[in-house]
Amino acid sequence: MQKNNIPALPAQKRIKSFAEVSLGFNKKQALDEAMHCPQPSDPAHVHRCPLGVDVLGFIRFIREGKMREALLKIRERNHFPGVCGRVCSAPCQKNIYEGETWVTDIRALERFAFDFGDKKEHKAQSPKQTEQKIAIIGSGPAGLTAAADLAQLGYGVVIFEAMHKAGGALWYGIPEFRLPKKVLNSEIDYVKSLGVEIKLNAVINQNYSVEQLLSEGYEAVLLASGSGSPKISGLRGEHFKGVYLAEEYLMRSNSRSASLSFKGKKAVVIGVGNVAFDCARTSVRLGCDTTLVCEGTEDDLMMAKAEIEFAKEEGVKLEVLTKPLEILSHENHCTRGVRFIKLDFADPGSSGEWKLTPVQGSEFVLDADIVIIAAGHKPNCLAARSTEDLKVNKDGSIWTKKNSFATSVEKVFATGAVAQPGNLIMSMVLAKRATQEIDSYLKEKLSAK
Amino acid sequence: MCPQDNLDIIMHKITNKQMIGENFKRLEVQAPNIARTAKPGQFVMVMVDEDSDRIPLAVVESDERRGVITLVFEEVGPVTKSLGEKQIGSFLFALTGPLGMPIEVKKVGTVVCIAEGANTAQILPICRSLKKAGNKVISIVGVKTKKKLTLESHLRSASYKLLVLTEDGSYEKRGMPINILGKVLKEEDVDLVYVFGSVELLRSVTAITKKEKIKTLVGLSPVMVDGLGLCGSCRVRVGDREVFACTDGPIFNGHDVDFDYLKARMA
Repeated sequence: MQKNNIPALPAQKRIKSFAEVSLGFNKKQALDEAMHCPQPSDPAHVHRCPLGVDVLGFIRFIREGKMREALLKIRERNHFPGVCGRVCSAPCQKNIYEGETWVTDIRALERFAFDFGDKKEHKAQSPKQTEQKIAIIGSGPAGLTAAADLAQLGYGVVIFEAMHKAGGALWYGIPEFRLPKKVLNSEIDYVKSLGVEIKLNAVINQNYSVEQLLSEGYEAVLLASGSGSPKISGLRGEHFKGVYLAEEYLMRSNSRSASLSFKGKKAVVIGVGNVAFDCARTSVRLGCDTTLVCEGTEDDLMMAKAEIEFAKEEGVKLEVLTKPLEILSHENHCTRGVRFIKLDFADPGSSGEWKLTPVQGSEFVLDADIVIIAAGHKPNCLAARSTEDLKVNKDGSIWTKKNSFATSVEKVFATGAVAQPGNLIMSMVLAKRATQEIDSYLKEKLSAK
Repeated sequence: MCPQDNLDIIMHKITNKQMIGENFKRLEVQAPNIARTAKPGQFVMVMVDEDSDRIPLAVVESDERRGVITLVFEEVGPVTKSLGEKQIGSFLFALTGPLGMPIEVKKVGTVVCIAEGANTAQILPICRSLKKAGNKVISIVGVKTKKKLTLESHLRSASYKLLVLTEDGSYEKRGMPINILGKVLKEEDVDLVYVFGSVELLRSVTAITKKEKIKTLVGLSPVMVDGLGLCGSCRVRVGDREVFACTDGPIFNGHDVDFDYLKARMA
């Protein structure tokens, strides 16, 4: 049960703009939510944040009306409460409430602490810089987390970001209506205030390589280039004009590209999860009549119920238990529709194993001017490709030693989704752990000198 | 926002600008890191203003000493038009590169480099480096009309021989590169062919060279958004495998490219 519903923009209003949909708790709601949060003494019932945020601690501060302290408490372990308070998968809210009648919306409280905590006042102090410099490749959640941690430990940190804006997938992969750029920029400014330098448009590849960075005096290089490379689904007709991979679609819409103008067009989004839903909801805002198609049931969408409801309210039509067969085109290679087949659970062998099976004769065509495919992504190894001796796993991720973030090359580490594909919070957790390893590695080296 | 306001952005000042053909412009842009490291066959992603699309442009020349690179483009769409309007002394919002896989520069013998229209600029660094490596470079350039011919003198000095074809016959020979290729292949013992241009040109050239069993490398220009392998819009099929032109190419073995697939990606 959830008592305090988070206010949201009315559907009719929000489909006309990219303004943030969820408005977050107001003060009264936040206090009420914090008041009702159980504060168990039994450690088994303590809310666990993978980053180690003292959940009960910061909620206690909110109860007492001390927003600044609440924000500081979160920042002890998590540099990005504004981002996580909006788009974290919130593992802290799961698994510990079974049997409870009240589910505290920890994520919403975290966001509240960020939105209402005084960000100016707690400007990070500039820590003492050591001689040792560390280069981080990529300014996504992993790169930024590691940068902030290392800067706080006193290292000189430079992030090399290949795009023209910092934030990685947080910037180009998540639409404004879920994560406003203003919030992201404020978090990045916080990282910079710790003394981190971010070099934009700085590609690390065969021309400017990891080896070169090491030769320029960086004591360690941390690869945190994420898993932003889209997978190709192999669906027939995927190359037609009007077919977008989700990554391109979101990147274009996040750059406010004028080339995305689809008023009155029909869009079909194929896939599940946040990426597919972000594409569908973006399409609605770009003026498309949008249908989201997935092979599983509504329970297999890998989405928070609230976000599914948001999408439905905005006019996204859901077509579940449906498998795409091929994309159809006009003679000029422009997309005209997608041929689907319905699926249903069947037990053809009477073995007791019910599985999704195509329903004979259920094929149908959905008209579509644009098709967006969210087939997942794989690690982006542009920086790794050009580094001799850097071992890469079969799935394209960077090989690291067992229980370590060290790669096959001395002084080079890898963390986040480029080493271990996972979600936002996992990438941040991995980055924190990698930071500790780099710190002890460099300390050891310094004492050996 | 002026780039000076943001120190994170390396400043890319336009130091020279020339009109070099009808709707063709040549820009020199300050980019010391790119000038120092760019190799033939590579490109940069250009962002004219903060709200404009990123477009790929070949690094036509790079002057390491002055720290500038040369970009050549035809003003056709809104982005290239706004790039063409930039004045000397102004800044580009962003310039990323060098990107893509460079060509292999070595002595192979006789190399034919073919380009048409706006793609002419792309073969200049390739011809230059191959000639320098000791190859006999024969360049074939096809344009609609004489006014559209660019970098002629540059190409002449970068090649053993330059053959120009105009569709309307307004300069040198009338015709298209494909009309003359057979003759060149008959007269010369060609070891390698490079082609840059429309899908039709790539398709027809590779069809001929496949018969003649001559290795042919084609430069592809599908739509690109980031140029870093993050969006997949430049996906092409080469040898039954989907690859990204930005990070795996943009130059591929022409006999492996699926041109029907490419045609749809170029639309």
